[in-house]
Amino acid sequence: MNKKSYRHFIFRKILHNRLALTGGIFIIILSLIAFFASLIANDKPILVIYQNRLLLPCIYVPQDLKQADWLNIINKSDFSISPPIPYSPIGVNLNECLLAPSPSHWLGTDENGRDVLARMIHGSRISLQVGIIAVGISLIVGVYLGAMAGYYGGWLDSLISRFIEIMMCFPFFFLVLAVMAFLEPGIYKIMIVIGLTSWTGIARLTRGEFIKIRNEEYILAARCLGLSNSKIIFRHILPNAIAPVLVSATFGIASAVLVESSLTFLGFGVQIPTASWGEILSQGHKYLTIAWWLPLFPGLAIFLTVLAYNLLGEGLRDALDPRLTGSGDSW
Amino acid sequence: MWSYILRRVLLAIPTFIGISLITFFIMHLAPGDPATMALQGDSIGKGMSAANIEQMKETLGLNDALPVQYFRWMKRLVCLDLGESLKDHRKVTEKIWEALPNTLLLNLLALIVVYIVSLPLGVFSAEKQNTFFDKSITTALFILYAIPVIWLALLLIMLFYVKLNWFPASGIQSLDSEYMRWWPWLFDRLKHMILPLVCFSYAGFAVISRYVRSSMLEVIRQDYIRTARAKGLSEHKVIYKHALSNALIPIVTLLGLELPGLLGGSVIIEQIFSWPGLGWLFFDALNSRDYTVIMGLTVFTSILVLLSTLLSDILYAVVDPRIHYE
Repeated sequence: MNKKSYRHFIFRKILHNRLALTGGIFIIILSLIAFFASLIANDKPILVIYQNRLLLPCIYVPQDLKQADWLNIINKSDFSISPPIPYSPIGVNLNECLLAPSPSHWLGTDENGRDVLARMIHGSRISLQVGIIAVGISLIVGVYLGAMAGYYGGWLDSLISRFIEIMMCFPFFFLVLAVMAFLEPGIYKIMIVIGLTSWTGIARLTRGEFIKIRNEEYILAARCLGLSNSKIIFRHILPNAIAPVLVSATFGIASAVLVESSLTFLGFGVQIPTASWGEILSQGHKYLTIAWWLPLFPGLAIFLTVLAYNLLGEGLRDALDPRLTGSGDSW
Repeated sequence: MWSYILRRVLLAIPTFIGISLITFFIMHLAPGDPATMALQGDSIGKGMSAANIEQMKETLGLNDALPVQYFRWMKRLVCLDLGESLKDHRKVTEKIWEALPNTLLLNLLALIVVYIVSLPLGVFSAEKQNTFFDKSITTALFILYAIPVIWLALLLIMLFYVKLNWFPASGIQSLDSEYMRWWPWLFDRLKHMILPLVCFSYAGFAVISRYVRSSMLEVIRQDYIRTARAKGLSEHKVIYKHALSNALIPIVTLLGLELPGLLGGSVIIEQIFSWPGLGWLFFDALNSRDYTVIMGLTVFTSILVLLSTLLSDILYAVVDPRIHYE
């Protein structure tokens, strides 16, 4: 079976798995929302023609209009298109604190009168970025260490395996929070810390796959041909070992999203005023008795995102498992 | 078997050293140093002069070379001395000792609940593989598994405390519990425990029952099950006597593997429910940058995990005579 047809085959299998497809579509929609967040939820118009100038304030605000009152400009303008949710994620409005969902604020407002929906739309950026970057880092570290341990074996394997074992002894939140507590908070630090603390599963998987493959005949053949170790590792073993690792990485994205929202909830993650789902949840904790909408909607968003990634990972696992021919039953 | 156990125990020693090294490394990773960090997190510390901070660093021994500091810390660690809290100057071990029973109580109860629910679920799912029952259980657990614990905790509090007022939302007992007779006292404790317990256990249902299911399915395919069936044993006996007892062997190891998750989760759950356990203590120390407590708890919880994995490995060797150390 050549490479292209195999990929095609896997792709077709995922397309036929309705649940995995739903998960994938959800993630694509979420990515689009995140990418166009400032066009969807903003207090500035998307497009406005004002004093014979064509402005796109969501994308670029000219110097002379930095302090401008956009409501005023829209009223005076000849033509304008406003975003569907006309609120900025960070615009404080103390006259509208903790309002329940209504036609003007679909998902209510928070303690500073900010629109919850606008904050959730902008918060999706954080969740997507954390998932992908943190897992990217843990993939690089995990695959590299796992490959070294599995391919070379011997003392290197014992050393790396012991290191993995040590890292797995730390209860995850204790480790992450201990690190976060001593760093200045920041969104990229969270991603790096989550990535550097969650690579153990990937490393173990990669190691196992490499041990399985390194004695295959085609690897022996490659060795006989005098290929360098790095070429054998990255060109010949890795492509054959990566499938189960990618499945685990997909589940890893789900858990990174969870971890970020939990860290932010505890106050050690994304800092205000940056919008994130965990931050709205922590406000929800504060106003639990009076504002049901604060925990409900961001929690639902986290739940659906995690579910979508898990469904996708599940579908990927089924598609890659040659023993399974029927519907998704391996979970 | 004994040599396996001995080797396993000896191997735990380098792991322990590794744990201590990593913890020490984390604490010195911070820009600045623990003393300054601790003082920045402290309201009194803000007014302190640089000279005072310097003096404090000197008393804490933070001006020595890192290896010197590490060996001094390690020497005390071996004697079970984790230093004293920067916040209230009480011994860290004493604080941990106070909080430990509360966390262990919840975690062990959660483990019991998880196994009581997941074992039958997993066995039934395997017995009725690919039926409607199996599929709906699988789907329900899959959805349950994706629910963020914070969300569930907040929703439970809103429903059962704010709306229905059935269960309290914080603490381990009511304020007047000291004056209660033992029966109402126990009832009061139980009421406080229900919601955190649900939060601790729901995610485990999915994990453990899936393991039980796949382990059962694996065993059912074996020859000796076919033999048991062939000699005319009832299906009930085949499943519950021959299959189950063998399928349970790998499940034993999971006991040890569940603990890190439970302990890690306790930081969030105990904070939400104000449950005075290890997680709550840790969160409190994080907020005041109390680095001796943070360091002590990080080491302590990971040693707890180390011991539990050790225990489950040994247990595995005891229940499965096929295990040998390679």
